[in-house]
Amino acid sequence: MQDHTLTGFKDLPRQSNDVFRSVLNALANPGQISSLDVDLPTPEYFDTATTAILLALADFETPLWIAPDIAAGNVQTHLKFHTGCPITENPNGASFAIATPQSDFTFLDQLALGSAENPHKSTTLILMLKGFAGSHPLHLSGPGIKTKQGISPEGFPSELLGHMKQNIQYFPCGTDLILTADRRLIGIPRSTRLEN
Amino acid sequence: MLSQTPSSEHPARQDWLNTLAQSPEKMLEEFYRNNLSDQAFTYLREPEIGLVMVRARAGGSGKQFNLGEVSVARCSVTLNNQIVGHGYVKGRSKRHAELIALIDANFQQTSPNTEFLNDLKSIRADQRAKTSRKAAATKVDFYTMVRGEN
Repeated sequence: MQDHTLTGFKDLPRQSNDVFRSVLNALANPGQISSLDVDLPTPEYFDTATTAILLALADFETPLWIAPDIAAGNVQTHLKFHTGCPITENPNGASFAIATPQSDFTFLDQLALGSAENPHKSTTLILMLKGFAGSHPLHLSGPGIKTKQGISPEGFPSELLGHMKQNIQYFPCGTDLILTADRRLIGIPRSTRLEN
Repeated sequence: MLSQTPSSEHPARQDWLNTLAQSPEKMLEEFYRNNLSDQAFTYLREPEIGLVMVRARAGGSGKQFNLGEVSVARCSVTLNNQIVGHGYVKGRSKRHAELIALIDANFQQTSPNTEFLNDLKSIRADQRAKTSRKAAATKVDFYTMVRGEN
């Protein structure tokens, strides 16, 4: 097991603001690919976009759940050092959950959806993919999309598609989804309808 | 967050970090310039200033309360990506925190320079003694006058 810590953002205030802005844009324009202009060392199993998002958004008040198949590397040491965020075993108590298409998706039922009083207290799921040039296109519609928007995530898990179809019914509660690949990301907020 | 009880794993490291954090920046700078200035390093966390809430208990046993915030500078450096040196120091001197981190990393890689540490400790002890003497000289005893019964 690699255990050494990596360097974080070179220019912390500017870069974390840039990343924040990109995530904001991605969630305001569901399905559109945003590209992050950052260069970072990444922990094992993690891509640049996910690492950057976590470095920018995670802090001591945002517990993180990491799917067991990608939790073994140096990611925990790295994130704890730079953000001080707690790592939780329980997806229900997590602000962010990170998974890959290879993860065991039984955790989906356990994600926090928020409540009517506190809809923001839900889990944001970050899914790390190989790329956005897959063969099974998905169609998005809803706020932020004029007519229709298509995406082609590589290896989008069918369990997650089912979850996201259910998800729209819980509005204003529900899961927000961020897809990442290398240094690019796509935002799929809870208000977006996802169809294949 | 961080555990509040000091770990017993590295008592020697705790001791030198403690000593370095309480030593004048000038002496650390001098030591660094004479011994470590050619040490290659990268920042893991660039020097930064923040606030730390100091908590206390009245008399050491009362209920815990927030005494106040204190400025702290911190920095972390790494040598060849393996050894990590940390520096935390009260105050707003980024350079001070950086020097502590650099010296900490070096002490881990080689061995702590006991002579230098002892020098720092004796200076610190002298200073403490001086402050205590000054305080003792101006000590005031408070006592309650016994009043007569009305």
